[in-house]
Amino acid sequence: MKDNDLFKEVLTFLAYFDSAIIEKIPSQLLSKMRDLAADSRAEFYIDEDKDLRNQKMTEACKDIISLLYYTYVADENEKKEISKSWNENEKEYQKFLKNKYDFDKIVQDKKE
Amino acid sequence: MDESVKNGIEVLTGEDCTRFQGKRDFISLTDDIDTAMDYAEMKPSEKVGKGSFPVMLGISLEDAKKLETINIHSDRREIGVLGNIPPEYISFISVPENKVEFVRKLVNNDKIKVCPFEPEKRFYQKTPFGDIDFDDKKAKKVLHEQNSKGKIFSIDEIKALTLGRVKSKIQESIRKMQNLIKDNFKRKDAYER
Repeated sequence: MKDNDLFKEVLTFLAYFDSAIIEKIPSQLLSKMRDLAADSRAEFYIDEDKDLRNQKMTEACKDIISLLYYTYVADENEKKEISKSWNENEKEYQKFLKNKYDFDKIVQDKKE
Repeated sequence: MDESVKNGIEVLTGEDCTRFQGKRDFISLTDDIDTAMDYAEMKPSEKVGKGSFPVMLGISLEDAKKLETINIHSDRREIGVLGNIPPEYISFISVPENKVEFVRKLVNNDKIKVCPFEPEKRFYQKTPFGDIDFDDKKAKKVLHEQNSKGKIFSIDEIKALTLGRVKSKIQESIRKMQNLIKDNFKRKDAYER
């Protein structure tokens, strides 16, 4: 996914965030995203009947939104909680990858 | 425009579809506040896409004359503006209340006032020079007095989304953000803890 499409997607969703959250994100950052997004021809939509996690959203967009939340919105305690969660999720993710790309297991599975 | 189509009159506006049923290839320019407010109150159709919201731009008559315009078949008092409107021509931007802060930050320009639509209170007015302007103080007061309307993702939803991410993917995002704005986005302690 191109960065200009990604930032257009991020901005589409940020438009539906509470003003109190938007206030905390630096204007300069949003302006840069806006400049990049201006070149995007991609279209992104919000489904108003669904919550944020169930929106049709790319994984990269979810990551950027999460990073913005962590960096500019979360307080110190929340940051610790989020960081811990990211580390735990990473372990699970590495296990998943190992399982998926484990050569021996692939061969074993094919034999079965 | 819609009436023309309904009555079988050929429309030569260059529009893809009728008003708000699809995308237009031009921006509507009017000196009639009722026409502007009618557009502002329209809800974009499913075809245009959920997530769209109306935007009203205030431009002085002097600057409006410099824009590239086209005549359109319309049942409204309007003409079309082709292409983009230079930011230096825009005196104010009006958007739904719950989008004001977002648009204000996105615009990031002290010379452009961003205010909420408030059709009932109508704080838009015609200046002696024929421009449409709005009462900035009244707009801000209304904005602070009223709660946001429309779809807003809650902070709990955003936090839940955040908690579900993976550290290595977040690191990729940090690199993207660092490329986007080198000085502003310091490599925080996200993955150093």
